[in-house]
Amino acid sequence: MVFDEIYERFRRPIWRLARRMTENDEEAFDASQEIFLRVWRGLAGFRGEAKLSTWVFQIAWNYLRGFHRRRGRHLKAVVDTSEEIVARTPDPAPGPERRALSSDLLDRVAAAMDELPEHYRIVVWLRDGEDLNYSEIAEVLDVPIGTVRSRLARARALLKKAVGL
Amino acid sequence: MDKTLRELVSRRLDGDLDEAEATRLDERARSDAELAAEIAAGRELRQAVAALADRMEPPETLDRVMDPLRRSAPVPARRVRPVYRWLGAAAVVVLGVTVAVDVARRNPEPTLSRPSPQRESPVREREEIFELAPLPTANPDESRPLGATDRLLEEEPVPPAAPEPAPLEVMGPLPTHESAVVADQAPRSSGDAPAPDGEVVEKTVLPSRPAPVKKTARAHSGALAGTASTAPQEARLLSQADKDREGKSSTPDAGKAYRDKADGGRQVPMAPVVLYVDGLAVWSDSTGACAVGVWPVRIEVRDGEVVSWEPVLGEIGDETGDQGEGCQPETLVGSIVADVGDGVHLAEIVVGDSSP
Repeated sequence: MVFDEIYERFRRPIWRLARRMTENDEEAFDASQEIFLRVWRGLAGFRGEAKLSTWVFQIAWNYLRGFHRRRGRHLKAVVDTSEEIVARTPDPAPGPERRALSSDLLDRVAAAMDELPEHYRIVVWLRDGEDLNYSEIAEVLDVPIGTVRSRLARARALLKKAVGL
Repeated sequence: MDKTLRELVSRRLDGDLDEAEATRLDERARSDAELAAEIAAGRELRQAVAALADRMEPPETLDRVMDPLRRSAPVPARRVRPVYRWLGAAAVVVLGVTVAVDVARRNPEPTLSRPSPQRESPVREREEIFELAPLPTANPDESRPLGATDRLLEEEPVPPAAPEPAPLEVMGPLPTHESAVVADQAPRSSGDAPAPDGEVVEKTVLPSRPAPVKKTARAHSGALAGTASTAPQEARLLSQADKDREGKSSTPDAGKAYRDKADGGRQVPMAPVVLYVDGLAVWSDSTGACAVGVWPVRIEVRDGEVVSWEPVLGEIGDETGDQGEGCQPETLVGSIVADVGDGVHLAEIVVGDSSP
């Protein structure tokens, strides 16, 4: 497979993942370039032992993991309580309209996602944003599948409380 | 909500539960409003995250920046033939072995297993205690290389009034191995001619035969090193001896009268005293009251501990007329004796000379 095809297939997922993990467009842009450069460099050594999507997301995660730490930005505290996430998330709109997938809800979900600890955010995004199954997520993150299950459940509970669902 | 139930809901949303589990959870949700709300909220959240992903588009500038890479060929991977890979591994192994052999040759003794000086110090101290200096003597017979018991029994007769193995009969029958010990000692003593009193001390001084003492001292050290339960007792005894040397003993004047008279007026300030059983040193202490010499005694051992002892040829210090007042190594009772079986044993108390 040539690089051009890979780029066309993964330009949106990689950009979304980079944007989600870096939290701003400029850094997501730089991160996307770097990730695709690494894919291009490693393409000749890719032997198809893993799924292409798993391989590409592995490269992306290896670069994005600890991104804030490398950039010298203050790390988000790894909180297991959702109070801090709720405090930094816009107030949910009252009334039945908040049940709809309104722009307001999406904004609140996006804000709550940005407040999630890194290892929770990535599992939610790979599962619900990129539709990877548990095994693929476990392979990308290099963790047991049981860890994926527990982290996903915990991350969703934090998100639900923060968004006000 | 319970952590397990929360994880089940999460897996239900992702289709990770099998059919039976999913059915059970759905049935429970029909009767549990909270659970049903949790499932509905989770479903809504999933849709929201998916919708969030759908509305995120990469900027066109990214495509432009990546364009050169898209039009270039990927860098070919440098493939290494298997034969070269094996040759490389073999070279690494050979190099490692060579280095290991060279290091081992330069440093033959592993430094980690070498005992530290602190570990050796107790043994050295113990050996110093038993390294007895030679005593000045006018009797050339003392330099004969005989065992302490042999020399004593050959040259010194058993006083007629002294109790012979008779006390053994009073104490009842002995086990077989202990009877053998008594039988080994008795015939030699009974066939010897008696000698006048007062020569025992003079003719049985220990330093005339340094080699056997050194040997038994080593054996003694080895026995102590191999017996963990003996070490505290030894430490206590040595500590007590140190106190005695500093004049802090609770009985500093014990045996002073004897010391004034014993051995022709020669005092023994703090002399090592060692208990030998079958030629093996099994206990040691320091004494300021005992005359230099070898004193046969009978000890009773129970559970590796001396429960009683008595002199065989009269009280120690008998020749000075100080019976019962001078040398009475009380600490012998209750002492732990290494490698000595239970029962009654003939033994020797050897008092050395610590004078320079």
